[in-house]
Amino acid sequence: MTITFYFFDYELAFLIITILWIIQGFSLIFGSKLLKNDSNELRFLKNLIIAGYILTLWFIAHFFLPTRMALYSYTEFEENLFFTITLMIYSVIPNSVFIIIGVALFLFFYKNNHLYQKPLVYTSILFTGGYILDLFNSVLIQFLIRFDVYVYLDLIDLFLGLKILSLCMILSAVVILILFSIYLNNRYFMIFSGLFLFQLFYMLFPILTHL
Amino acid sequence: MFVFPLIGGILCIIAFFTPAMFAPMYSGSYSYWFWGMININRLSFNNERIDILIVGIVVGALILISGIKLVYSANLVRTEKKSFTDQNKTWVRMPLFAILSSITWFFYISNAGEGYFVPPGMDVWYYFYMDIGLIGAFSGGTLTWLGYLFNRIIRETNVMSYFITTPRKEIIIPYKKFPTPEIQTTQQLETPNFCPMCGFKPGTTYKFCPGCGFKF
Repeated sequence: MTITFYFFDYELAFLIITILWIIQGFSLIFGSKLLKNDSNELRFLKNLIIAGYILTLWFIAHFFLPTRMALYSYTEFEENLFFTITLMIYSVIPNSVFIIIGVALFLFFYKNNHLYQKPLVYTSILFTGGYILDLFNSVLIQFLIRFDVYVYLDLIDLFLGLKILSLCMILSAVVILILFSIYLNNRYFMIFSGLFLFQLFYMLFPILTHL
Repeated sequence: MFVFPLIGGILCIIAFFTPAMFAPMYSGSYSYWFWGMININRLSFNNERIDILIVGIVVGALILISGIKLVYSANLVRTEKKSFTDQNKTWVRMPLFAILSSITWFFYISNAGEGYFVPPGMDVWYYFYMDIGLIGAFSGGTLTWLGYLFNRIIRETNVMSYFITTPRKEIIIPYKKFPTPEIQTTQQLETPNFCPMCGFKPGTTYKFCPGCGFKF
C-alpha cells in the first residue's frame, strides 16, 4: 500500500475559520470561568469548561491533520481502514465535539435552578438535536457514497434538506444564546455565540445558493 | 455591549481583505475579491469588465469604512469615552451599509457575472461558492444589528419576563405542611401565662381565655 498525505495545504479562508474556532473555544473556557468566579452556587459548570477545552484542542489538532490523503495499490482491509479513519476525522469527531458542548449546555441549564431555565433547556436540546441530525446525515452520506453512490444521487435533495434543517436548528439555538449572553453581560459568551453565528452563516449560505 | 460591534467590525475588515467567492478548479482555486483581484495560482488584477470592477470597489470601500467605524466606536465605548446611547446612529447605520453592500454585490454578480465568470446561460453560483469576503461582511453587519437590537430590547422592554419559569417541584420548600420551629416559638412568646382579667392560667395554645373569654 502506498499512502500519501498532504499537510498544511490551506486556503486563506480555512486559516481564518480555524483561528476563529480556536478563539471561540478559548472564549467558552474563559466565559465559564468568569461565571464560576461570579457565583459558587452554579452546578455543572465544570462540564462546560471541559467542553471548551475539547473544542479548542480539537481545532488545534485539526490544523495539523492532513488536508488531503491519497491511497494507491491497497487491499480491501486497508481500504476499509482508510474509509473508517476519514469518516471519524471529517464527520464523527467534529460533530461529536459539538454534541458534547450541547450536552454540557443542557446539563448546565437543567441542573441550575435559575429563572430563565426552561427556554434555555429547550435551546440546548435544539442545539444538540441539530448536531445529532447533522452527524446522522453526514455519516449516512459517507456510507452511501462508499457503498451505493446511485442511491445517494437519487436522494441528494433529501440529504441537502436535512443539512439545511440541522443548520437552521443550530442557528435558532445560537440566536437565543446571543440574547442570553447579552442579558448575562458575559463578554466571553458574547464572543462565543457571535462567532458561532458567523461560522453557521459560513456553512449555510453556500448551500442555499446551490439549491 | 461593545463586543458585538467589535466582532462585526473585525469581520467586515477581514471581509475586505479576503476573497468574496471562489471556484474549486483542477489547477487550484479561482478566487475573486470585492475590489477585483483574482487568483489562480498567481495574483493579478481583473480589468476587463469595468462595471463589475467599479461596483466591487464601491462595495468593498463601504464595507471597509463600516468595519473601521464599528471597531472605532466599539473601542470608544470600551474605554468609556462614549456611552451606549451616543453610538446609536453608528451601530444602526454602519451594519446596514455592510449588509446592503454585500447583498447588492451578490445580486449584481448573479446577473452581470453571467457570460463573464461563467459561460452565457449558466448560473454564477452553480460554479462559484461564497467565501469569507461576502459572508463575513453580511454576518458582521447582522451580528452588530442583532447585538444592538437585543440590547435595546433587554434594556427597554420586559422581554426576559417571558423566559421566567417557576422553579422545579422538588426545589419548592414544603412550608405550609411542616411549620418551622421558629413560628411555634414566636406563638409561645406572644401567649401570656395568665389572664390579665380573671387570673386564669390558660397554658400556651389558647387565643381566648377559657375562664372569661378575654382575647389575648
